[in-house]
Amino acid sequence: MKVVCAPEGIVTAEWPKQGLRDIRSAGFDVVMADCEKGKTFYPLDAFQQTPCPIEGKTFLVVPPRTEGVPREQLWPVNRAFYLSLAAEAGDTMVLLENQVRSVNGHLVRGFGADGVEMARWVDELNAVSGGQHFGCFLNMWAAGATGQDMHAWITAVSGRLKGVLLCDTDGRGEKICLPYTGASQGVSQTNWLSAIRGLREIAFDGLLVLGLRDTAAACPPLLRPALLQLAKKTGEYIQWQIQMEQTIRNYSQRVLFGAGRMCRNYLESYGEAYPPLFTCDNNPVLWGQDVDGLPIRSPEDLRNLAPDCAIFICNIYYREIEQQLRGMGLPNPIEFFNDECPPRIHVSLFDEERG
Amino acid sequence: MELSVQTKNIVRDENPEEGFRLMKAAGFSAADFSLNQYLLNLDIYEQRINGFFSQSLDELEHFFTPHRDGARAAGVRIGQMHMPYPAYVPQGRDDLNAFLWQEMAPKSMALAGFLHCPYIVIHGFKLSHFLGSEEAEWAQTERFIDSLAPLAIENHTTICIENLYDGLGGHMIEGPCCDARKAAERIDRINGKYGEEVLGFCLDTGHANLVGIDFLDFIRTLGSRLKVLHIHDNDGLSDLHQIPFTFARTRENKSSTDWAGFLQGLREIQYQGTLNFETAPVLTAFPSEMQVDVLSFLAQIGNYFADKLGRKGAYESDGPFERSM
Repeated sequence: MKVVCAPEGIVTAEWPKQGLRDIRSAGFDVVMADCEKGKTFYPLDAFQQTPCPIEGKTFLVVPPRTEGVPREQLWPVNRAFYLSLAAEAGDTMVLLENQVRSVNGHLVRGFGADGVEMARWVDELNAVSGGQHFGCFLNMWAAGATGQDMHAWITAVSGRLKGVLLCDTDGRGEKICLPYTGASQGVSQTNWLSAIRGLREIAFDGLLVLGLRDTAAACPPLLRPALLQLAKKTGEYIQWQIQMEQTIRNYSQRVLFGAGRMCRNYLESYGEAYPPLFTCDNNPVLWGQDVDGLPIRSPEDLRNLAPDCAIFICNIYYREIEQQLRGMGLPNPIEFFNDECPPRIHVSLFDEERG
Repeated sequence: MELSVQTKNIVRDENPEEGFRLMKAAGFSAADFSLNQYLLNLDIYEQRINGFFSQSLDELEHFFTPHRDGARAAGVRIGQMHMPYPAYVPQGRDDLNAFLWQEMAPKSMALAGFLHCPYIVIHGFKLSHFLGSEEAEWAQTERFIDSLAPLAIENHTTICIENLYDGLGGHMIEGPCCDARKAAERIDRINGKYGEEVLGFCLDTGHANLVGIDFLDFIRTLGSRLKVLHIHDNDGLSDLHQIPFTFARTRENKSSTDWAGFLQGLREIQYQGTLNFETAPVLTAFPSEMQVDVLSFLAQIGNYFADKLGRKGAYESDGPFERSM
């Protein structure tokens, strides 16, 4: 998985070099930007000159042809259009992107908004073109603006999904804001839980493109370097959330640190598939007790672990606990577990008899 | 084609017949009986349950006898009704959810039979946030439907699931039953299981508009499974339940709700059901002195819709697919 940046709102015609410099300084090395046929990915040192391969593949996000096309003809027309691209694209993978359309100013779902249909189209294009020339790209502002169930869309397209434009929107129009900044009533107006659950479920391993056009354009240029650093951190946070299960799965043995809510949520979400040996806590009163059947022990017991057993910190004081563990000189890998985007949240359901 | 409007804000318990006569005079021959007004959704969410559905079925039937007789006397058919909702409160008290599932819902089904109402609209459970997926959410709704299906058969009523929305910081996002393909598959499977039409669909135009559902695609996919309608309009942002054609978003001032797609879809599937308006808030928004005028205007819109549905060719396809953003 790679986190890249969309330069809209940052790289302006007036000061293109400054914008690129800011993006690079924040730690990005690739941007997704316009090209003749759509959007592609460029290394920052050759911006809009030569697309760069990412893990051996170049990608081209190409919007469908919709202008003047009757809706009944949308797929036949675009099928032919995309197949014509495949013929000239060589090793480049063409990505189909979900769209919205406007009904007198109100946005409704457009081409590719149905994940099942999108998956069918991509498969058909690949079958006809005789190779893996096509995939798809999730535009989160388009999906967010029409309140789509992103988990459903993502799991429908599954492995065909190669890239995601990560951004917030408010559902009123084309607004591309830094993730988590499109907030109202104390919450983000984008259903990040649904999106992250979906991406985690399909073990997404493609391109995460940070879109912050409107946030960056509204931000004073002097603050943009700081904004871009936040954007980079935000992209890495989302990447970490998506990879949470993969990270747990990577270790054959694991223990937890923390005996509270986060520990319970680990057990609820992953306890069955990836059972921990025990959990530990700094509170001696808890030693010898258990959390939902998981023994609680002293941190000193961590010294007896096999060196490849990972310690997952399940407590909001991540850094303090990490420091404590490092101070103990333990050789074990230390990871952070987080329950902000759990695969499920405990809810009491009727049992069969009562239903 | 029959026109219908919800009874809330029109039919009053003190003299139900008067309200039904008002509906009839305005041009409606059918009613969407607002059973949900006897146990309000806000109260349910706040876990405040009144005693209405704690009454015995005999008592409830006695209570609703003037409504049934009043409708009949006014020449109005009770064509559909709305079960109180939600029937399940996530993280609500067990005794509350047990009451909703075991008392409120079965009694609502029995009342549908008592009122000779052929369709009862229910809300699917809003659980995807908790259970992680729409499929897991639906599994719980299906258990609820399974519990009601024998009562649907017994009372000669069809349960209709409705497309819903949910709120996220004031932004409306997809709720249960917003995927027509899944809905169609589920309706067919459940009806096949019971060997009767126990389940159908209620398209709510306002809810669909809030989450940018393409009316034409949605209705085409549902086909004959679409049994009843909740017709109302909004600004695409809030669930306002207002008069169709009321809202515009551009300076051209054309309706921002795709009524052309709605009509084309109904015409293509040869919709034979009632054109039902779920527009109770309109009646409180306008001065009470204008109630008759407002109802008549709604009926005129209904007649316009019926006219467009009846005249083949009156509606062209909505033309070129509009510009993608």
